Amino acid sequence: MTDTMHLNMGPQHPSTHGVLRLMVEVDGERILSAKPDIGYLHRCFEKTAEGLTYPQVLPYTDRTDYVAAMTNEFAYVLAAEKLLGLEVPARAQFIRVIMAELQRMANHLVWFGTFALDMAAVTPFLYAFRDREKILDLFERASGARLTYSYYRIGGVRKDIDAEFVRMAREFLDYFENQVLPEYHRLLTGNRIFELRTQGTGYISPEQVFAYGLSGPMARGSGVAWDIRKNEPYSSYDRFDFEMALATGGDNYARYTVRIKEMAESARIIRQALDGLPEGEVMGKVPRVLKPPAGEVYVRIEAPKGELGVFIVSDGSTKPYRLKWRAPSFSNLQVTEAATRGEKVADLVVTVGSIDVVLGEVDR
Amino acid sequence: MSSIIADILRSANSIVQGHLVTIREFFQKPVTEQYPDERLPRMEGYRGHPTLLVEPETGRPKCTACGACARACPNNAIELEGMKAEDGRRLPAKYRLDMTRCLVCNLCVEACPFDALAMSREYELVSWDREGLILDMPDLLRAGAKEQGLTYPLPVKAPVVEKEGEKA
Repeated sequence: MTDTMHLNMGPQHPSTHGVLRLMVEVDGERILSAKPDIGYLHRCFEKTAEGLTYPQVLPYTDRTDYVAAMTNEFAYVLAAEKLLGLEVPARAQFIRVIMAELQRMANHLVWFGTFALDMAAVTPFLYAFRDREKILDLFERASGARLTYSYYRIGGVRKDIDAEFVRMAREFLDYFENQVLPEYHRLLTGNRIFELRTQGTGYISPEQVFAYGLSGPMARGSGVAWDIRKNEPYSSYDRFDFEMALATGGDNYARYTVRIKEMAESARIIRQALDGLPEGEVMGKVPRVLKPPAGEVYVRIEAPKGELGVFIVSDGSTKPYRLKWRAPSFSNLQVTEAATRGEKVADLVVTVGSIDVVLGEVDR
Repeated sequence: MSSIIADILRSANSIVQGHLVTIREFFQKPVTEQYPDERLPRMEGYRGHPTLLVEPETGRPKCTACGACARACPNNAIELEGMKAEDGRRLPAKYRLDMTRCLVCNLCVEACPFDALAMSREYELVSWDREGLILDMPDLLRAGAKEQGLTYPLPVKAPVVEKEGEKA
């Protein structure tokens, strides 16, 4: 019996994806326990929201999961609209879906790049950011910003998309499907080193998915068919034909295949939405002062990282009485210890990478 | 034994395949932009910071100091005081935008009932000190006039009407 060693990974560590500290106990190279220590990026988002009116909360939601700001806004405006009982025009619904799916692709590209970077493959990182840039250009065209968009509005979206946007989006989808995905597959999917690092590491069983409340690609990588876009269609997702990306391996490689497949499916959804884009207004009838009736509402959507839930309690005033943000990375991060126990330290980096954490969302 | 050799060959091939992808990039145009020597064109509708627009006829701000923007701001980044001009129209006496607090969310522009605010297209919003990020009324009007294609302060128009006729 050798002495165990305590190892601090982070909060200043290049592969912890932000300010995440992992308190690791190791016996030689084997991990005995790995406890995430969070809170370094806590900004009191939920408490701040209690002091703001309903429209004013919106720019703050951008800053929770800053890698996927569009879907954060999506969840928030859906919750506020449900509370207020507002109707959203069909065109705005389609635009919201286009943006959310583009955001999913952008998020998975960042994930793809950093995941490979965790295994010391620098090239995929540079390629992924090159291609993500094109999505950011699309967002810049539509919303005027490249990271914190503030594009969705309670009752619709801020600005209509024009013909030039549609042309750019189609051009990007062609480029993505014909060049980017095959290139990624040649670069990484069949790579033997990549396979050895990911196959069989970070195993999560379907039982653990339920026990830890995992969602999104983390659940689908373990063979749990749970995609809120399919199971509880919101906005206009019931109008699109797409497949749920599913893998049964439960290891890091399975989660990789799920996310790669999801990007292709997102591209399919965007194509359908662009083809069927209805004419009309992008902003519904919204009262000047938003004063919802007293009550509470919970809305969940399929964010790129998993189930993003927004719970709002209203006391009938112009400000939410309480706002709870059910962040997918926060719940998914719990599984770190169970997924890495007994594995090598080097695999810990890969497994944490496969969870796709954004600390801005974990700490809020 | 043969399976080991097959595995080695497959591994070697996968790495060669990956390198073929990267080697192709040698013969393509680099995607990197050499900022600040090269600058990408900004997209139409890019949002910089909020600015105050001017009335092209009088050179005065369009703002009437109603305070709707300050109320809409999630962060209290806008501070303003009103005053009455000689002709009875309300004008801002003081208008301060604290860019250290601004989220660039566009809510103030949407709240303005007089369309007196617009977002600039500046993206180099940096300063050596905090004071440089606090924009006062002249800074905002200068930036706003730039968005309108004017230069602030506007040249004072000659008060004599006949001169207009001569020009035409």
